[in-house]
Amino acid sequence: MKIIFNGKSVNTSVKYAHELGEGNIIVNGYEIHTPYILKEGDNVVIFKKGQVPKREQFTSMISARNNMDTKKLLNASVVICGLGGLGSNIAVMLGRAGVGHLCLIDYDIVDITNLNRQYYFTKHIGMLKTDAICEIISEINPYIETEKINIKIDEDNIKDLFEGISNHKSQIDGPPTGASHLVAPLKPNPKKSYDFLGALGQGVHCPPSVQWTDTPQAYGLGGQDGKPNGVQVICEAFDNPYAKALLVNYVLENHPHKKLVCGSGMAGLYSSNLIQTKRVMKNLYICGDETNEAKIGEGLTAPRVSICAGHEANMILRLINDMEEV
Amino acid sequence: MINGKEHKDVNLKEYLDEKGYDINRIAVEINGEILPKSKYRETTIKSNDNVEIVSFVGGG
Repeated sequence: MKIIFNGKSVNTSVKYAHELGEGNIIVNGYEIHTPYILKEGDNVVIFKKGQVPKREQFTSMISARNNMDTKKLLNASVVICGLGGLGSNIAVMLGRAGVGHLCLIDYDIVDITNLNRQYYFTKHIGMLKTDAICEIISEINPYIETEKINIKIDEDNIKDLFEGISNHKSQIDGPPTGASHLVAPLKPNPKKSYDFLGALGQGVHCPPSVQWTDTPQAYGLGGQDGKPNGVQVICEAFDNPYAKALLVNYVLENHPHKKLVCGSGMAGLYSSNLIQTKRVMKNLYICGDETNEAKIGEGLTAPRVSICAGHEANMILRLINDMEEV
Repeated sequence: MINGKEHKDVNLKEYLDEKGYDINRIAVEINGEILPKSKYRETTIKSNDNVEIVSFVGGG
């Protein structure tokens, strides 16, 4: 009988899951506590509590409770624009889910007023948000490939930025879905990164940088057709409504095959249930209540911002899994 | 149809102004295609067009 055991396809003749090894047992995304008779195609993860697994098993184990196609997740590439209350939470959620490649864009540093809702700690105050969130993600899953771009997106640089990303690993205009185009993780090309970011130097608050975490050889997904993986989803997570509209118009006009997930309306202490995910255009999803704006007398708090971030992250995971409806 | 409601033929820019939309905070899709901002002024919405106007609010 063929099953997937700790991320690897194996043939086994054992009857029960617990005969595969000692430890806690997850079968098809659910932890079992009674004897389980194995079936063809089962996905079984056995882990020991309190131990950090070796690299080869890390990915399968961290995704054991997802019950999602791990290859789709590993090959998925998401650009997150803005790392504030929405983006920092979304980045961490997608990192936890095991999305293989995250391109993280923000210009700002962490400050004290961020800590009421954003996924940062006091030790991050003064750090670039891109650096801080990469540190956090790497502490959750060191094998997520992250790309950091420190820039404030505006009308003058948005074209160069997205062309730069499309010339780089993330490949904005790669195949519409990366799932069928498994590709070996590319080595960073610092020169190219600095070329496209160098052009954006003026007006950038912090020195631009593109840095890569460890090349995730553990993914074991070798290049099959030599084509680069495509960015599957672009996530809008800005605070400023003009920046939101700028990004949405730019992406929908220039990358008409890309899906865009946005946040709009999550301020105040209104009902959680006002926040929804809507597919408002063919390639545009909006999460939020679309009404309650951050303004004088109307603040932003962790619960509502996180609920909205959760909507965005869930829609992104659905899109990665070819589910286009909300 | 504009945002799901029937509407008579109207110039898009005039409609947006009349309804108080801030052009720098919106995106407009006509019959499934995004409409560049540069074309708002010259675009007339016909009764059989399907128009979606999305307006963003701040916060994040």
